[in-house]
Amino acid sequence: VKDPRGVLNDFGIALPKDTEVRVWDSTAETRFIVLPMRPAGTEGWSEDKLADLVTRDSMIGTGLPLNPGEVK
Amino acid sequence: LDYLGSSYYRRWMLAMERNVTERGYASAEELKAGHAQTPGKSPAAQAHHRCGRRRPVALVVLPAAAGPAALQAGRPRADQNIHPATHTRLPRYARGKLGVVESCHGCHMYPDSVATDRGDNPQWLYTVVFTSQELWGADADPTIKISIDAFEPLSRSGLSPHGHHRSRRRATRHAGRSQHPVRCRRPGVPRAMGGAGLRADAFTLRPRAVRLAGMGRDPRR
Repeated sequence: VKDPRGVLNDFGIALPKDTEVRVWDSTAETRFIVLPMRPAGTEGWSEDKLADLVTRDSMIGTGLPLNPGEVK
Repeated sequence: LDYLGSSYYRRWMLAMERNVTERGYASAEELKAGHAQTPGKSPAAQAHHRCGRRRPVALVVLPAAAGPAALQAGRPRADQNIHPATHTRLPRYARGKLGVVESCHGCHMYPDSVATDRGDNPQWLYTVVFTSQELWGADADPTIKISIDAFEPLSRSGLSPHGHHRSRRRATRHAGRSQHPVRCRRPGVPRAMGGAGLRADAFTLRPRAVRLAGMGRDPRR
């Protein structure tokens, strides 16, 4: 709760200094869904094509999706 | 049985699908298609039913720049010092701290009551946002904000204990003094619809600050 950037660093992701980090300390009453941020240069992509960019970490909030150039 | 043969996440998905179809928020056809085929239904009626006649405190969606200023302006008097010995959902680090009500999740059974066999005792549940400086001290990273789920009985000051039904008059009065006009939301309206142009009852509100029932100063500060 106190050091979210440190936790993200442990997962290998360093966000820009000016990116606002919001910690959601949730209880049993509310649930949250992680929606990965759309990488630049993917406008107009189909759902299937976008799915190739999704990683496990990007779905649990500990990473960003792949960039278009990183897909094999 | 779906349950025994399903993975942990599939069980959650099945439960969610059953909940939304049983309550009429989506049909089986819509789940299959992956998108809505009829206009949506608001959960507001149900939330009001469960908490009786009371309405939640007027809700605010803060413009990004208004957060810190509102906290300063709304700083209330000294906090209550409570020491619940039984189960509570109020995180220790938030006790006695000043936050801003950002949204309302409707009525939920109150775990502090349930844990001591005093019944469901449904209470309004809010998202309350704190700056990192408020929780961790002046040298904390200002780009970090922390929000918790706070039940109404655990909050005080900005949350009027009996003035909710008078919120229109109070809100109008506040609007005249407001330095940061904000939009307010009707309870039960999904958050995604709350910010962009939806205004309940056509008035604006000053952000309400709440101080959570506290245990004195955080020893880490």
